[in-house]
Amino acid sequence: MEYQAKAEQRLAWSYPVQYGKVNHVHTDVLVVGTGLAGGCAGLSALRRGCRVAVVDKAPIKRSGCGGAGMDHWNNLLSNPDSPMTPEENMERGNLNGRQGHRDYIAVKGTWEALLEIEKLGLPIRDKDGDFAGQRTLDGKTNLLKAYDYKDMIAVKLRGGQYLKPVIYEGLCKEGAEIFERIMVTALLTEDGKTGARVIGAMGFSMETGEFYVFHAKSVIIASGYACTIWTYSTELTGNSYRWDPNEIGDGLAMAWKAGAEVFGMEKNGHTNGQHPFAWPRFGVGNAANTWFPCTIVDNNGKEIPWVDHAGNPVKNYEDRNMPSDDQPYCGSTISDVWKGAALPSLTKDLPERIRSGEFELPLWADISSLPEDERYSIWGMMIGNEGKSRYTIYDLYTREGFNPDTDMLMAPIMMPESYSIGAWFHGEKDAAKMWRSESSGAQGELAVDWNLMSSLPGLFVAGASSGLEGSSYACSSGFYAGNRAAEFAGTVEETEPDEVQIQAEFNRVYEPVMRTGQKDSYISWKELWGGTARVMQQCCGDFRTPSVLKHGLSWLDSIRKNEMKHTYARNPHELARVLEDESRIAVSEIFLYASLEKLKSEKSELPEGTYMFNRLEGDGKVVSTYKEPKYWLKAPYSDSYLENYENCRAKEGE
Amino acid sequence: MEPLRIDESEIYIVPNPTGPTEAVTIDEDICVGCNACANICRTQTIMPNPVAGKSPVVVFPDECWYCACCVEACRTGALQMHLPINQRIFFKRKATGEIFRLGQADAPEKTFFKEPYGWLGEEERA
Repeated sequence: MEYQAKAEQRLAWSYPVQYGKVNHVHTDVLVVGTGLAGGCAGLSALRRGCRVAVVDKAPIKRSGCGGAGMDHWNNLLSNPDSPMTPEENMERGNLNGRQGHRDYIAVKGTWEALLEIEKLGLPIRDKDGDFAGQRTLDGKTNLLKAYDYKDMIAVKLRGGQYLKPVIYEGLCKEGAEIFERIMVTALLTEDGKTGARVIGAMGFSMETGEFYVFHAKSVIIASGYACTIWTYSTELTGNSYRWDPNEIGDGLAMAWKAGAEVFGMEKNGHTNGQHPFAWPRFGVGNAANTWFPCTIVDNNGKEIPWVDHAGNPVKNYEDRNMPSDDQPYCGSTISDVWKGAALPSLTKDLPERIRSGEFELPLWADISSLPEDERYSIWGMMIGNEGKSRYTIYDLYTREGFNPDTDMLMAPIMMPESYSIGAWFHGEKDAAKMWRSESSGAQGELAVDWNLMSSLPGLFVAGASSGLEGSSYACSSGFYAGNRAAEFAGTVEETEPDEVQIQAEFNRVYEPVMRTGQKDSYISWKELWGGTARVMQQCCGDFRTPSVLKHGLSWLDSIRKNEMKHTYARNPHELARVLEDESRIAVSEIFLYASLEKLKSEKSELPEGTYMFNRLEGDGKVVSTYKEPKYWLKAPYSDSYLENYENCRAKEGE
Repeated sequence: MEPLRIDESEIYIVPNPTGPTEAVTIDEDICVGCNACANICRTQTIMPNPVAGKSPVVVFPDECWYCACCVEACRTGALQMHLPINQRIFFKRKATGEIFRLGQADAPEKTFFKEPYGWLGEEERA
């Protein structure tokens, strides 16, 4: 209220503003988006002797989705005692349309990446003996096993609250040039041409408004997913967001405009945790994810039984963390790639038993009934280290009286069927329309080769931008991409950028701040966002036809030519938000185009399982290319995952 | 009934807040104006006060992600996060069956003081 009252007098902007002042930065490797993936990419490029510039819209110490902290480190099939090797896992899995080389690169490096992070100073082991003698402790390594107490396929990340700060300190110590609160808005390409080699990027400061031209030999995009494309709601508060609000697809939009190939953009699915009906992450009674395997009771205190992945009763509490006889291990990731890795869960007929009245709502998470080590594994180890729960749940809830030793936390009240699905803090699955999947690797991504290089020479991709989600995949793919980008930088000279390309972006970036007066500037960035989200809700839903998709494209074009021209930016912060809206429009177009191309390809006689890629050509035409299944194991590549991986890493020891 | 006495200067027009209205608050009596919170905020929700040395201003509460990096960065404990009303759930005290809602005025006293594992003390964090 106070700020609103002060607004009457117009608060002065906190920094000196110099719109249009141009700064040139010369580097070898430029990192666009320095979260976990970008930070690790920067570190490995630095260690190869490169000059590295790391850029982020937020302060890098805590930027990115995992920047505020992390509770788990998953997909540890690369640890020496894993019950299955990454190679065996690729062999048995049904990829279900995922890109195998990309998945393999990520899982192959998770163990190495964890040890690398430890070397940077993260206290990941139970050195104080807090969990001595407990089943969660791996006696050999003193790491804390998660989900599966027989084998170590995931660990609880002790000290995970400091994951990003130690990466940030590493970047500073090893001499990275740090650019914070800089929004990169476009890539520079050789001779300014679409589809050409990437030679840098442009952007501006969200504090001073100054313009930046980054000259680089290679560029790594690690700017995360493209989120909030379908959803805009005033009921949607930041705490419902699953992903960092800075993740709106800037990297995807700029790579697309430069001519890079994208993959899987036509996919759709649930909007888990990205809609107004979600709850604070880990902040409601729940039996999955961080709260696994918490006992759940009904409103009368009656315990809900557990079953294994096949539906057989799990007799006691201890067995919830054990694989069943037909499983190689209990996994945290459930997909076709990880077949057989399903976890025990609450009884699968829970919905019917709620409907029949046997169990009365609301349900409660009885954390107080768990053995002490398990209770503090959830409330202390994981909620105490995960980013959005360290202060917002752990501190705030206990400050307001909640005590895990004596209290039960309520689960959201939902349709009975919703209790059989995943983590309840995401909100009801069907509360929002099925727009687009935001689950692991199924979101669509910038297409990459075995070097994690995009179809544009010099442009590399890491983390969720390449569909590799989660802290372990982000760091693992980051270290790998940084090495490949460093090697590439060693093979090229710095190239003079095209003045016309720079001038065009300069003009585009500052257009919103040039609009003044009520007649020309009357639309806020929020209204514009709501407007484009409505286009996607209408035209890119579950049921798609060519006419509807084309209607969506012309609708977006109409908004771009009309309302967008009247959207105002009264300071550098609002300027970033308006330019993000422009990114959202570009991202929306990618989805619409990809969906149109998908419908076309379904009519053609392409063999089943064909992989489709889309890209933009210089004349504005969208082109599709097709590759056969498992193309990453065919010439010019080897037919072995391991061999391809080792070939790419051969120069690392130099 | 008597007419209400409200100072006329307390009645005014400003634009509607879009909500949530109070993501994080800064206790100006404790705040030393160091801007550590503003400098770590990922969304510029908190901005440095244009007047040097004064408390930062929470200008964009509707853009807050509730990551609470600002709370962690504050050396004097001047910041508190507040969940939006639609995000406040209930808890039940098992022994008595009493039910409380997070944020209710007569909430029970804080009784849990354990620190998270791997948590660094103030000196180590600095």
